[in-house]
Amino acid sequence: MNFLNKVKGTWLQIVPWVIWLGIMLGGRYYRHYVAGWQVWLLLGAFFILSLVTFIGFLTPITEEACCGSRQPGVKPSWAEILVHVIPLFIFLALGPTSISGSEAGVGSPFKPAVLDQRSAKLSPYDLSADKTPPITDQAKGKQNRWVPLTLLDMYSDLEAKGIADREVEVEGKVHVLSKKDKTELLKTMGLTGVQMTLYRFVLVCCAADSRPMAVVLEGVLPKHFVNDGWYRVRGTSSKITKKTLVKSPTLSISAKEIVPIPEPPGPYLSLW
Amino acid sequence: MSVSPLANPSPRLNTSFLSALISILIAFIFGPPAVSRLLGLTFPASPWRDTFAAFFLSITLEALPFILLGTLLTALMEVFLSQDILPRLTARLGVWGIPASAIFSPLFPICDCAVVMVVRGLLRKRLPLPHAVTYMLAAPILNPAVFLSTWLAFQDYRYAVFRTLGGLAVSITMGLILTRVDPRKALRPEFLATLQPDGPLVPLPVTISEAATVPCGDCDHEHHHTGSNLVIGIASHLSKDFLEMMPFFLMGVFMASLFKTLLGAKMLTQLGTDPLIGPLVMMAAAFVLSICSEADAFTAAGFSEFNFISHQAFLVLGPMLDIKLVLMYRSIFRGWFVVLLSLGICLSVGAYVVLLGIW
Repeated sequence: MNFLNKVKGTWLQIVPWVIWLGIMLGGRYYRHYVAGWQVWLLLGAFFILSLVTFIGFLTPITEEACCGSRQPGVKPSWAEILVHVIPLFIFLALGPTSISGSEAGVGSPFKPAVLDQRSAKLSPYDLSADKTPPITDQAKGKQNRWVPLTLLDMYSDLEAKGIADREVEVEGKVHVLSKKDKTELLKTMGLTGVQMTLYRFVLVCCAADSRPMAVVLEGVLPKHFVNDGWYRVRGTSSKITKKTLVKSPTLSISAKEIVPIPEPPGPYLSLW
Repeated sequence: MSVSPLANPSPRLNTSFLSALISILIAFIFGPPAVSRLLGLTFPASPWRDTFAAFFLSITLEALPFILLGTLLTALMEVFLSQDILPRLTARLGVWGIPASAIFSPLFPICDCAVVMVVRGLLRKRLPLPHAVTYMLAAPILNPAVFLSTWLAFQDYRYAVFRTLGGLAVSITMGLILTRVDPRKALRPEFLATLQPDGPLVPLPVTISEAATVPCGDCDHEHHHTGSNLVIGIASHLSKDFLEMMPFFLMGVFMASLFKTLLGAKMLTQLGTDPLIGPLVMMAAAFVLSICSEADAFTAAGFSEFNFISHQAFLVLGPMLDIKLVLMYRSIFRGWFVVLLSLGICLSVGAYVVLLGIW
């Protein structure tokens, strides 16, 4: 009876949180939702909740019923129990998801203005992609024709080293612009003739604060193209020379190859 | 006038109703794909649903450690902090206690999600309502991490400095206004029931208690937390507070995710960027986007089409008021008080940015 009381009480309410956090950490699914550095916070939360669950299971029910606004002896309703299953339920229902460009309005994202604020020389940011040693042109020729870069690398390299007119390999989502998108692009950036973009979301803390970053894409789309699907693009990068409304430079890639790829384990680029 | 918990015939109605409502809404949106997945059928993909889920889970996942941290702080306060310390301190400081609550808030540097939990604990420890609200509004802005992230995002110290000044000014103003509000009428009956019957503004008789042997403020009897009992006491307080807050938090996250998916920041910014409408648009954006105070400066910096004043409106209002926070405030305060508080915050932030503009 005591066990049943526990099962319909605090214990059953906290356990879904522990399971959800466990799945997020164990499967490394947290990368679909938050920045990598938050893993330590999530581990701490998992530890605390696990400890509370363990203690709650061992504690006599009389002790448990004492504190809190719930009166002693009054058990939570089923709705109050179900509400704690919601994050786990959503995750199990859909699996890991990421923000869709069409829904987030990827019409004229290009370089988030936050990157305009910094100079590459004085950058306080630790760009995740910059942690990999740079591939020199000589080394590049030996191992691969294409320089693998992220969109963040491209824009930061543009300021620091001049990324224009290099052969690059970039992964991201390809978005074919609608008529509305084109109008928006003309209005906000003064760009015309753009048919599609290669974009990716850049986050600081979590997906909710992410902003899209893009380059203009030129090339031939593969068969069975899926709008906002994941693709690896190989081509020559260049700086758009025509005068745009925004001061920040805009990049484009003239694609030689657009190949569909599975969604990367970490769909976002992290600013930190 | 003392409001007895018995005045509300069903003290759990709100939490229960809220939990049922959000559970039904979530089942309506995610039930069909869940059933399809269970049966091994293919359900047509919906970018809208995927984006909504990504927003919902990311905000929840990001905030969870901070909410737990706030809850842990509250639980530690419950167990270790004597009931008479805060009332005695505030009585000694008088009205100066209100600015002191704001100025010393960096001593407990926490973000906007965690601060609501901490304020619950502070109110239980008899911190007067104006002081508690002042702390609640100031702490997420005066947090050193928030100062640093604002500086980094804009690469300009003025943004961080004026944000801090705005946080101080608005929180102190709200605290002073609230000295005229009866806390017993402002607090939810369910939460009031967790306080001692004479309420948070009435000084308690001074009792000397050992650090780890204090009466539990939530109970109508006394028990003592020592040894293993101490750990059980902390775990019990932590789990109860956490579970009480989460329905409000999840409802707030649900609404914020819905607005973010349907409207998005872009649609809001299209309303206008000129110096007159800009601050209003940015305040609306801060309310709808519900971004953590430690990351919102980067989002604000992304809105480069807005001017300094509009950015300040976003940066000062965001950590004090957003969709998620309104719902979280409801776990402590009555509906009318949350409306009043929201209006007060909006007007104070508006006045602050107007003054900045004139200056």
